[in-house]
Formats: sequence, structure tokens, C-alpha cells
Amino acid sequence: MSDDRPPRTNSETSVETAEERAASWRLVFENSLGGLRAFLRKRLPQDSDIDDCLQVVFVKLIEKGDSVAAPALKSWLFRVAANESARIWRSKAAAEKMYQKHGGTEVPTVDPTDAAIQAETTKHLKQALKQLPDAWQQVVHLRLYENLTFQQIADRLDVPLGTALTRMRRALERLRNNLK
Amino acid sequence: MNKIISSDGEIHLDIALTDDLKNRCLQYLLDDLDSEQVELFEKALSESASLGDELNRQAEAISMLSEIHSGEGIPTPVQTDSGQQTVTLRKIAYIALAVCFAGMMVRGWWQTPGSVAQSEVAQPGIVPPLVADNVTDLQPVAVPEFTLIARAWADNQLREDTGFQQSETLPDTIGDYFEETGSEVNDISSEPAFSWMFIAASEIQELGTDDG
Repeated sequence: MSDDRPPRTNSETSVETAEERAASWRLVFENSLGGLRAFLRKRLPQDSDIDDCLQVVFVKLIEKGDSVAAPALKSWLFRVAANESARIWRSKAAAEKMYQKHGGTEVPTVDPTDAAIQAETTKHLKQALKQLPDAWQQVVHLRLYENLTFQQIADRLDVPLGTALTRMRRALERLRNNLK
Repeated sequence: MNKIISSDGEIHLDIALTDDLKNRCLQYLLDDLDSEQVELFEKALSESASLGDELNRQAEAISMLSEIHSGEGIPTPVQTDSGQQTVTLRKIAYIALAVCFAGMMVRGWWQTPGSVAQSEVAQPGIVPPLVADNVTDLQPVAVPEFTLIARAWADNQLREDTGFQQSETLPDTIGDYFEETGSEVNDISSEPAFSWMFIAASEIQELGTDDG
């Protein structure tokens, strides 16, 4: 999927229209659409909610897709979908349910403290990352920052594929637990 | 399959989250599966809430990691080794520099006029390296400047004064000279500007002896 992402705007592609960029991102989105729908099926009871959620995910992809690293794009889409599905649940449960329904699926306004929280989270994440075993850090680096496949990583480190996968997964688990 | 009891008390069957399945989640999120594997995974995803939860957890962690500046503070396999090598080489370089510097200091100290005189006085009869016809042939690498001047002066004197004969008034060695004149070591070291003359005189004497 990472190869399908639209080219970033630069001097050569600045003439690209918004419609063309939307079309390019749509291709990226459609590659993940089956998985996103399957993912949301267990989270949202109604198909209309799933469609609404997917619509928001697509809008955010167009708005912010350029800022997401290619290897993490699919994960980012699932995160947006998960957050949006949670928001839909909250809006359904809240008293303002009717207002939200009539107002459409507008994205909530950005909290001014979000940037500070994000900066703090990033700081803690970096610290947690450095505390991981070197072997785990290597796999994280090679996969997310050098964009090697797991098989390529396994070949480079001369370990079985399952070992490379497990190192990456345990690194993610450890990081997630450290940030709780 | 695992039995999952929901909040409303219903029992649902869900697939067991094995390590292999968790790894498959990772591969799916990072596009490491072929199309057939993707289809199978998405089918399982549509039927399993726990698999969706695991996918969501991994997606969250990957998204957070991707927001860190690319590679910042993360060692790579090669970078880790080269970094350690660089540190080691730097330490070795510093140590080598320190040893060289200390060696130069010690050598410089030993070759000061005072210390030359000290060594000469401590062992009477031992004189500095002699000057031959070709002065540069016998030049040590680190001879004090005053010695070089003295040798040059002595050499010039010998070349100009072809009728040079050993004078009986000249002492055989600097040590002898000191003995005869009663000069003290400290006197020479305190006046390094004149010490080269004594060395020159002794070298003239030595050369004259060799010639004669």
C-alpha cells in the first residue's frame, strides 16, 4: 500500500489539483477499505454508522495523509477508524445525540492542550524506546524507518521470520505498557 | 475458539489470540501479507472482536512510533557497532595524543641545558655526540638548539682554521673542564646562553684529537 500513496506536493506536482489528489488518496483508501470495514463491523452496530465512520476516515486521510510515514499509513487509518467509532459511540450515548445527528459527523474541535500532551507523549515514547533491548530496537528501526519487510529484516539479522515478528510485537507491547 | 461473555451476559465464541495471530496482525498493518493472506485475515477480523482489539492496540503503537522523527535516537545494527567503534577509536586517539604529549614533555625536560649539564656532570667523561666533517651525519633527532649552534660553530671554526692543533690548555672533556675551572653545574644551567660555548670547545678538542 505504501507504494500506492500519492506523491507529496512539491514544485513538480504543485499543479496537481485537489481533485487529483483526492483521487490518488482514494486509491490508497480503497486498498484498506475491506479491512477497515471488517474492523468496524465489530465496533459499530449499524452499517450507516460504519459508512459515516469510513467517510470521516477518508476525509482525514486527504487532510493529513501527507504527514503520516508510509509504513505506518495503514495503522494510522485503523487508529482514525477506532477513534471515530469511539466518538460515534459517545455521541450516541450523550444527550446531544440528536444535535450531532443533525449536524453530521463533524470532527471535534482541537483541544489547545493536545499539542502539549502530544509532545509529552513523544518524549516518553522516545525514552521508552531507548530502554528496549537492542535487538528489539533494531527491528523497529528497520521496519518503520528503513521500511524493510519482515523477511528482509530476518535475512539481514540472520534470524527466523517469526523471531523478527515477535521482537517487533513485543517492542510495541512494551512501549504501549510504558505509556499507560 | 474462546468463549467470550459480553456485558449483556451473552456468550460469544471468539478465536484464540495466539502469538502467530498477533504476528499476523502486525504483518497486516505493515502490508507484509500477500493478497490471499490479507483476505483470510480480514475475514477473521470481521468475525473476531478480540482480533480487532489486538489490531487496534498494535495500530496505536505503530502510529505513535511513526510520529517520532525518523530514526531519531534509535540505534541501527550498523550504527550501533560503528558508534561503539568510533568511541573506542576516539579514546585510543586521545590516549595516544596524551602519551605523545607526555613523552615530548619528558624529552624536552631531559634536553634542557640544565639537564644536559646535569647528566654530563653526573658522569664525567661522557660528552655529547661529536661533530664529524659532515655535521648532519651525526645529528641526533632531538638535539637541543644550543648544541646544534655549538656544533655548527665548531665545524666552521675547524674548517676556517686548517692549522688547528690540540691545545694543551683545553680540557679533555667538559667534565674535566668543570673540574679544572671549578664551575658548578648550576652555574651553567643558570646561564644556558653560554653553555653552548663549552660544548663547542669540547667538540673542537675531540675533533682535533680524532684528526691528530
